[in-house]
Amino acid sequence: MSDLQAKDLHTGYGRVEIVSGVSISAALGQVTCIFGPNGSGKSTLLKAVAGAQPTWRGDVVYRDTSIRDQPTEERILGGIATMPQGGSVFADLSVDENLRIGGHTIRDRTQLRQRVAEIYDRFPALAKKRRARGSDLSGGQQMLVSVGQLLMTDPQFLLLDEPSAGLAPSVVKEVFQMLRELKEAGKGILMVEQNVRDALQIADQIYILVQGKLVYHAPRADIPDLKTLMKVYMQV
Amino acid sequence: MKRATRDLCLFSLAALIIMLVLLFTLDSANLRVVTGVYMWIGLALSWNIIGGYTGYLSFGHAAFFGIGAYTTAILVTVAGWPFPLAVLTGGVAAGVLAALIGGPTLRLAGAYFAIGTWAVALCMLQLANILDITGGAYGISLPSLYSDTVFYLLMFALAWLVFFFTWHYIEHGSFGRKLEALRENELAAEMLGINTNRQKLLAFIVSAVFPGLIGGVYAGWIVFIEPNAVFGSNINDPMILMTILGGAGTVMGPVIAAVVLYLLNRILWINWSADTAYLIFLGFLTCVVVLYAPNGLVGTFKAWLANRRRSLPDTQDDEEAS
Amino acid sequence: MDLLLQTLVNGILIGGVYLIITLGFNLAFGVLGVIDFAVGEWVMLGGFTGYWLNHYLGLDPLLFLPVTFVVFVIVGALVYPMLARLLKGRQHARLLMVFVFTFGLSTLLKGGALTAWGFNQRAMDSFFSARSVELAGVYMPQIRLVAFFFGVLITVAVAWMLYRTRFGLSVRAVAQDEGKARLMGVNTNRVAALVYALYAGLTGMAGVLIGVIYTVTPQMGVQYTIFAFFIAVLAGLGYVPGVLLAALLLGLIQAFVAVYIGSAYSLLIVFLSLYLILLVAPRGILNRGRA
Ligand SMILES: Nc1ncnc2c1ncn2[C@@H]1O[C@H](COP(=O)(O)OP(=O)(O)OP(=O)(O)O)[C@@H](O)[C@H]1O
Ligand SMILES: [Mg+2]
Repeated sequence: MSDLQAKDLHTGYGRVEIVSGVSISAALGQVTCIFGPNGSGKSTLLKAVAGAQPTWRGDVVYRDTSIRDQPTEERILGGIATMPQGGSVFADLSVDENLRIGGHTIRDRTQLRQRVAEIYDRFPALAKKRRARGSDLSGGQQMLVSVGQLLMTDPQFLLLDEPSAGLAPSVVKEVFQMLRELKEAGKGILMVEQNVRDALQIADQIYILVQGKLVYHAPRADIPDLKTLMKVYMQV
Repeated sequence: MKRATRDLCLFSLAALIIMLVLLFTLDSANLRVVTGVYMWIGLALSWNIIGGYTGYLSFGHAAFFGIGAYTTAILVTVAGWPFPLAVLTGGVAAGVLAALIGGPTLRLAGAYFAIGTWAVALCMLQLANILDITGGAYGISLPSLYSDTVFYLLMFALAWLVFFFTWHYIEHGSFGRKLEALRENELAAEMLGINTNRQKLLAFIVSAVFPGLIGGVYAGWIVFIEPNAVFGSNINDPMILMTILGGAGTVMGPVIAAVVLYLLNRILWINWSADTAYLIFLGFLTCVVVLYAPNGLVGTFKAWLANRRRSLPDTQDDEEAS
Repeated sequence: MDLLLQTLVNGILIGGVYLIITLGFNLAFGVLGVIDFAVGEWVMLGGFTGYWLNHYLGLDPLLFLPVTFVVFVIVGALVYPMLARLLKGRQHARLLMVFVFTFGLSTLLKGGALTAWGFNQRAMDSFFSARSVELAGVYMPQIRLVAFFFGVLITVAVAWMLYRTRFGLSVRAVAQDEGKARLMGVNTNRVAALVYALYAGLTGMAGVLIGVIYTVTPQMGVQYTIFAFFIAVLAGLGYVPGVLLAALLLGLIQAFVAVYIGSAYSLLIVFLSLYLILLVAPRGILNRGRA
């Protein structure tokens, strides 16, 4: 049921602990959302799960095996791909290069080319821009490239850090529609969001993180509406 | 009497006694060695003001030493000025140079500041090589004005002056607190109402004036200067390395490192006439210190002391934190 | 007119050699964020490697370029872990500490070379050394032509690596944003180690060429450190394409100053312009570097 788990995870920067003993679990075919105020350590937690940040104490478990000592590369090969906060577009790389670096773990050239072609099929808007530099794209296009990079390795699990931040409302809708489709296709999504209202529409599990500690967890089904959740949010 | 003032008096008294004992016991060759020790204490402490306390690593402090030396030499030989006045003017010249380049250069951060100041020193070196008034690559010979003893006393006085300044105004004064605040976080210091531009320029000028004075005295002492000897890396580099090895931003670190390293230099020179091997030691020690004790020897020792004192009542505390 | 053309050619030819040094230097800066003060000492040691191999084996020093490359790639790979240790450190001003470390390293290397080999200049001769070609009244020493074309070859090879290979793409990605690159599964530590090793290898080879064109002496390093800084700052630190322009510019400045003003002023003008560029255009003349 829970395919990707953080167990009593501790991590931080330098000597400062930012995430203190957080346990979460996410499942395939579900959207797991982490909410929390600014600076509460959401991104840090996600980075630890992705392998871009060392886990000081506790464990990260994927399909019943510990991956806490695996580098990011191996986690990607195992099917966990991550989109960092602000997207993952490299400003000075072309769209084509951005997609190829998204598929960095694919060593076979033909397969890589094929994957890029598949992404273009999926997002025809990008195909027209393959030579454009990342910095010359609009916010919406950058989001498409980021999602494209994410899908390059055809991952089972997607870790997303605030995918809707800074996007126009119409684009936000598209993004969440896309996520819904991915979920329905059986992917697992572990997502940090500030946009609680829209995220709630697709969420299956809700976690709230405050100052590096988990203060709330409930299945979506237990939360009647946004108001109830906001009430909880205000109390903690 | 405040504790800091008492310590300063005690230390100065001890230094004075040691200086006098050495003066009456050493032969003239060794007296010259100790004169050199004083010079390097003064230079390392001067560099420490901008490089240690302020956190701006100047890689071009030889510019100030050299301009002091050349100003003195030129005023004495060409204009016939009395030596003390020439030395003072040398110090002023160094201060003026620092004031001129300080404004724009101190806007550069980190390694860019280091490269900028290095470029300035190299420009000065080239200028001294090219200009007529400096005698080009041939340099300038000065008349022998005083005995070695006088230069011994002068160098001691200058080294003590830098020490006094560092102790009184920086280590135990508000000027130093401002500098350390801006070193830790320039923006935050600005928020606290510190005019950081002004303070760091002031620190830069002060740390330039002393080497200017020392350079002037050096010129009179050594009686012959040429561009490489006063603007070159043999003056420029040890100032930086001594301070970092001993502990940048501490008073005693540069002093101890200057004494030890300059004596090492002389021992290598006297026994094997190998002053290039000195560079091996300097470089190697710097690499090791930067890798394993980035606060320098005294800085690391201080941190260790503080750590021990803090963890004595509850040793578990420290393990939790790491 | 002839003099002008000759000067132009001289400048361009020597600029080709500077290219080899600064391509790697700027690449290493882009990826590691490290300004290597020891760059000139790698040039010096590269020159001595060529010199001693030539001295004992008697073959043309240019034949030792590949050996020198391999030797310095290994040296770079050995030095890198120390830089990495400093870069991962927790104290603030990490980059500045790395700079100081490389400064210490350069002092150590220079001191070692001086102690071992003294202050003398040493010359080595190549097959091309005493020959020259004349074209339209312009006189070109063959060795400089060879060095220039080698520089061009290296540039093409590096450009191919950067823009046509998987590794090159990951290098550019790491240089732009290490955090993102890591999330894409790039082993950033390995990329940085390889780039540093490559830089050391290229710089060592440049030393051989410079040694054949001029001479080798343990004191030659400083000059090339400042040249590398000059070119990298002019190009914009971390901006690799800018190096092409900047390296040629340095060659031209030197050549023109030497002919029209006097070679005594050449270094002064280089140092002065380095200082002024830092103040006026810290991101380089093309405004594409990192400040
Ligand atoms: N690279 C870093 N080095 C040091 N401290 C960091 C670093 N990144 C984040 N922090 C600190 O860690 C804390 C948590 O940051 P994090 O980015 O995980 O928060 P967040 O919950 O994602 O916030 P936001 O909603 O603003 O994205 C903050 O106090 C931040 O200042
Ligand atoms: Mg965040």
